[in-house]
Amino acid sequence: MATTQAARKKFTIAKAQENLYAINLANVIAEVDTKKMGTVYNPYTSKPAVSAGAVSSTHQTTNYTADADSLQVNMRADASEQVNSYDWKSVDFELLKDRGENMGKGISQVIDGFVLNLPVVTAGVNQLDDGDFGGTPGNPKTTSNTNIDDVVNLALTELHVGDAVEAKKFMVVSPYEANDLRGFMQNTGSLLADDVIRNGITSKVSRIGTTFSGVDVFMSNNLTHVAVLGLATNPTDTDTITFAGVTYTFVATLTGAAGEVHIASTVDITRANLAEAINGTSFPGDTAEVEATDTGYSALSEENRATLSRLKIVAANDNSANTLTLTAKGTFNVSEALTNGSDTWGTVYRYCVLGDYGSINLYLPTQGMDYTETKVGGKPGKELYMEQFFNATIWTRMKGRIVTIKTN
Amino acid sequence: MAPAPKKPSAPKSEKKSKVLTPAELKKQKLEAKAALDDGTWSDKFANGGKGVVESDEDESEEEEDEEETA
Repeated sequence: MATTQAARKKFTIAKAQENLYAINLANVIAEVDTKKMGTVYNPYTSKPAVSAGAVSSTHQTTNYTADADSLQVNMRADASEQVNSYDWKSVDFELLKDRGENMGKGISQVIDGFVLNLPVVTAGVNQLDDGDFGGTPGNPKTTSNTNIDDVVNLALTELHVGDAVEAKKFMVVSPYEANDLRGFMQNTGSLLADDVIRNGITSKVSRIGTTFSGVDVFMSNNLTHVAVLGLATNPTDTDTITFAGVTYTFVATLTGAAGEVHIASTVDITRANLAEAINGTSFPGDTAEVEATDTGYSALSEENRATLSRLKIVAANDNSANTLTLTAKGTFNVSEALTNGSDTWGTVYRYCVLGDYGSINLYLPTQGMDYTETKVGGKPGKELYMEQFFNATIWTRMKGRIVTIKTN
Repeated sequence: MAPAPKKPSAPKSEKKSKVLTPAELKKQKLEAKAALDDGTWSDKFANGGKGVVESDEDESEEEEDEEETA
């Protein structure tokens, strides 16, 4: 091969960063700083007290105060693969370059998920749900192509009431709300309907065709999603559950196949073991446990582990409620083949985000990306490693400038 | 040490389920899914249809057990 490792490193990082920036929605909606490493201090200050009244010979002075919050750019998204020299030399395309590009895409997905999850987990950010639309508080708002306008308009009003009136707004929706929007726009208006009927809504990182209520709407597969599995009866041999295209099979005896969970003596133990199998050790589904009466599961295939790792999927068991809750930083579907009729998945719900451009600050230093190719003793080929340092926050003064909407 | 008194055995949670037709199963799944969506599934189906076990009652029973054991 003509290229040197140093040249490949330079090229691969450039290509991976190009992918990262091209695909990363966070680069569009967030305030992005590509330089800062180390500790960053809150750049957003409060508005001062203002006096207004009859002219006098004195004026009132208040003390300036700053919130002392700071952020360390200490998160790392990384990917590492051992590429067998046989594979590397057999294919008729540049495999190492391909892996570098795909690592950039994977890192982009994870950072998007991290950024879009921030409004969900940051205290002080307004979270709208069905209760805000006259339904049941805590439940997701069920959207359709006839009420999606209410969702956007109410969220916008909440922001305006919260004093976020200055900046241009963005909204990030999942493919489901994008579908509702498409249907709404195709059914409503004439010029707009004609345009959407002709062109649909594009699904890449760009505005989805048009603004809606003056808001730039983006579609992303990296919003935070939650699915609840009700499992109150111990499954029957060969019953299955599937999420994100990954199937777990409940079996009386492990067969050696990937993605199996031994049916334990009670449903609570089976469900707890399932949660443990999904969560894994370093990656979701990466661990196997030896079978016994109340334990035992196999690991997932490498490809399925990779899928769940990019979704950052986490399982939580609840013995009291008899449920298993999956939380992921991405869109996923669910299905099941469980013998018991009342054991099933609920509808996956998610957290859409609407806010001012720049209300989230993303620190994504270009110098924080690195790529290495290393020969590992005893293994043919090379171990590739790519990392990107990052972190993001919603600074204290920006919390009123962004809301989430829980929908299904 | 006196042996710990046996707790009253928990009622069998698994119902004797009759074999459902595919249509019946589908109907039941849809009802269960709707219950999960509106947050009532655990009250209707968890723990053998007894719903979410109230921790207060449970704890008081267990505390009694512990005292006797001690």
